[in-house]
Amino acid sequence: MIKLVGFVIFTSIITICAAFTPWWGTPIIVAISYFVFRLPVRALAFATFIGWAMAAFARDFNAEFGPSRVFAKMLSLNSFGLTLGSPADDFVILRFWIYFLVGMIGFLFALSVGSISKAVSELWVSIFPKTPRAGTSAD
Amino acid sequence: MPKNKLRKILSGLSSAILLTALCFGLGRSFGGLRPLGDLIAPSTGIWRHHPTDRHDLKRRLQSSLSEAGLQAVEIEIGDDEIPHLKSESDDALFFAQGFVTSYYRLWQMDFLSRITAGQVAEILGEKALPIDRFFRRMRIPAAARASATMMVSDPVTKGPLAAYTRGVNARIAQIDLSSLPIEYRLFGIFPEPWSDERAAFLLKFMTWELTGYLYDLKMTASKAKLSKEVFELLFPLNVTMPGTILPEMIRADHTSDLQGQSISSHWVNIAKQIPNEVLPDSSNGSNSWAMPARLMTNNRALIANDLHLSYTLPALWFSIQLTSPTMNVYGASLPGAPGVIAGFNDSMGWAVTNGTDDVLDWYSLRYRDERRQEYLFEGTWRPVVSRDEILKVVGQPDEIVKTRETHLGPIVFDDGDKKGVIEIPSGLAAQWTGHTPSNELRSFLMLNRAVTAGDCLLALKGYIAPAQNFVCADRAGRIVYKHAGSFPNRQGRDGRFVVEASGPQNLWQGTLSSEENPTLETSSNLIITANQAPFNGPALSQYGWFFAAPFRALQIRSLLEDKKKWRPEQMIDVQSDTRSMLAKGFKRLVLRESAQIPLKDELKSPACKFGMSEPLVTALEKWTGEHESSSRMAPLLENWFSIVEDSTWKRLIGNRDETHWPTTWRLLHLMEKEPTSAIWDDPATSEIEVLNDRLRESLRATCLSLSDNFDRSILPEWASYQSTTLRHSGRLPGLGRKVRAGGVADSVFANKGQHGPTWKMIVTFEDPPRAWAMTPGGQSGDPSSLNYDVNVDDWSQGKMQSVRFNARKKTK
Repeated sequence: MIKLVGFVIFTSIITICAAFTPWWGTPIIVAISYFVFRLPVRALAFATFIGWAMAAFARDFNAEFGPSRVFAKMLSLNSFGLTLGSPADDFVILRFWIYFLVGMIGFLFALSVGSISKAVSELWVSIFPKTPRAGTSAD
Repeated sequence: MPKNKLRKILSGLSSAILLTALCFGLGRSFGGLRPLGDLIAPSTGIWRHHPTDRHDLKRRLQSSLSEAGLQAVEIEIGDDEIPHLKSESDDALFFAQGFVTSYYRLWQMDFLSRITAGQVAEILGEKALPIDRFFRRMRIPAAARASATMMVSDPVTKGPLAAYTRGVNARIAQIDLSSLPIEYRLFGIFPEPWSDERAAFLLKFMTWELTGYLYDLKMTASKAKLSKEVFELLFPLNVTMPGTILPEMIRADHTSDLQGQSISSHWVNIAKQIPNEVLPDSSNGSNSWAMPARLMTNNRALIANDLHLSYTLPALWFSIQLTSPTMNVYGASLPGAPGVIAGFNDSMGWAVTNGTDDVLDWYSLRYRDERRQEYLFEGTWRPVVSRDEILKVVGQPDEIVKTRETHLGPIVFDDGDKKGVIEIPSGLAAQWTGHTPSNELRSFLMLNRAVTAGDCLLALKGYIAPAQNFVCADRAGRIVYKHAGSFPNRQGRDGRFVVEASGPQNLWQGTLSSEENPTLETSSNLIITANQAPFNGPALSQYGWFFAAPFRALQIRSLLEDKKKWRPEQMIDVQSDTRSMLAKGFKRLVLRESAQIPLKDELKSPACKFGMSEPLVTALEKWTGEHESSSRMAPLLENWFSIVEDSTWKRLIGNRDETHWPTTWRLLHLMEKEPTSAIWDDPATSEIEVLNDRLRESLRATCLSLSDNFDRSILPEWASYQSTTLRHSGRLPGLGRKVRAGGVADSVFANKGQHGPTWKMIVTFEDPPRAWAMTPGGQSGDPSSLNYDVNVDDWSQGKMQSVRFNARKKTK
């Protein structure tokens, strides 16, 4: 339960971060989250996927779905057969693909930054292993 | 090293590579656009954009008007986002027009005006430099500035232009990140303040687009390749053409001793280096007709107009109604210029088609030496006036372009580095009516305010360029036709060739008197203009020699003469007719020749079967010449004709991009009348060939080509053979649109794939007037708006929308 609450909180933070900071803001938050809070990399990546997709959706909703209309045109997704018939239907399907693509960019960011953070952290520990401080021996 | 550590290092490295690739990919600019990361990020990119919205527009307009201290403007705007603006003050009205137009179309008007200003590289970068260099060397920006000076000093245009500019700038001042047009966001730039000059650049863009043909260079090359007899057979002057706008006409100042001299056919190869983007489309033209009241069931005159230009998204024209105490006009406005270009008001309307006249001549100059600073004229060396102009290029240092001018006009081409080929250094100067300072906006604003069709003639007094056919009609049933513009007086010289400018004998001696330009006032005649020759007679060659083949005009006439009385709505079907008289004529000829060998045998060839259950000849006989999107016979006939055309003229004259070819009308005429002429013979073969051999050979090539490129078992549909695309005005990929449409160059619905009807209008002068209109696109220039391309499908199916026109008052 605690993990779920933590995941929701982190997803919300990432959503706000994606919606209000430049694209390179997310990797910084992810790195901080890993080093400071020791959140698992996979959870970070998945939360970022949802966060970016939700941020895109929120912005799109606020702009009456105009931005996704532009991306649908620019990415020419209908050339890949992502159509249902009428232009309106096509657009609904295409829109979710666009949110998915945006989410995937966030996902890849978080995954790579998280993995680097993890590798650096583990290497650090293996090179400089923690030694008990003087006078704090278990015995 | 322990395996576990190695695994961690590798995992870290691969993630670092992924991150680097992501940062590199998202942080890099492609094609001059902003980095993808900036565009796709929800916080900064396109997700921040808010589409154009009529409620937002109304709010913003009212606040701008009050800030500017102007009177109120009522704005009615429905779901179609066509604004109906009404004010007691012309100043407020044109301010509102500028504001509203730029709210929807700022990018488009800015970009189009940059083309003739020679400032495209400021946005698109290095790839646009050849375009900017050409327009600067052609001195079009200077000509536009001279016209702007006239506009701001003319009482008719001064006020509207100033108010319009203020309106645009009021809108620009409001723009923030969420309302910045998408294109600016993509290119990472911000709009600069608008100026009166920009309207002049836009109008000059239209002038160039409709008259800037370099045919003289190609025609000179054609003449150099042909014997005198063959040249006269292929390019006869003064032949009687069917379907002219008016019957024969004599001009008092006409002299018929055409000299037809030409020199220097090599210029065409130098001109080939200029980018295709600057050359006007050879199919630019339009249709218009005026129906007299006697032919209408409602006993009211009617005008129909469709303007054929290159398709763009946003649509080229912006529909608007403008109402003030001095005008109440509805129609197509050119984004960036005040008023309406083609439209109607409470009591009259006007339609426009390109005159297709020859108003651009090229003179070969002989330089004194390699420095090219002096040229020979009348035995004396005259100085070339040079200027350095700065071309700004985004992401690069500025470039200096040298413009050079003579008393004839600007030097646009030099013989370059072709030493050894050209013995004497020479240049090519242009003389063009578009260089004459002019104020066409005055004519259009006067047409906006005209009351009767007769007022058209007053409005067109002093009209210079582009030369156009104007057809006006009014509520009283009067119809006026005017071939308006400034036409060079070449003193009887043939205007088809590059000529040497060694003395005044070859130069223009002023212009033809405009009062004697083709004009007709009538209330009973049907007037049809489709860029064809305006009249027959020896004086015609003074106006031009590359008028459109008369197929469209003849088809319109044949349709309109098919009924005794017409309901206005039925004109919608006439405007969407896809039958081609050229294709029908070619079919007739093929059927005639099909009785003879070898074509008779080739028609039965299995390669041309295409899964048809009946013989090809029978299928041809049944075909009506229509080019509907689903037509399967149209691709065969069109491909066949174009192969006959290509193979005949390539062999006889040369490549199409280097030489001028006879019109399709002439080719069809020669096929009909001269089937055994030597022009059909290929000297490379031992046999003497006639037309029938050419038809057989080209049919074989057609069947092979269609089988290879489409399906061997069935003929392709016309819409697959000729795909129709509406490209974005800045050629941004993805922001255009493909559509399934019928029509061909010679049908009334003159769709040529990337070119065709950009504004369609039908007006009947009842009280109040009733009208229908259509544009291929929507009102909004914002790709994120539903109204960006909303009408494209309806347009492609020939549909039109009923116009909501707010009549000023009931009049008798």
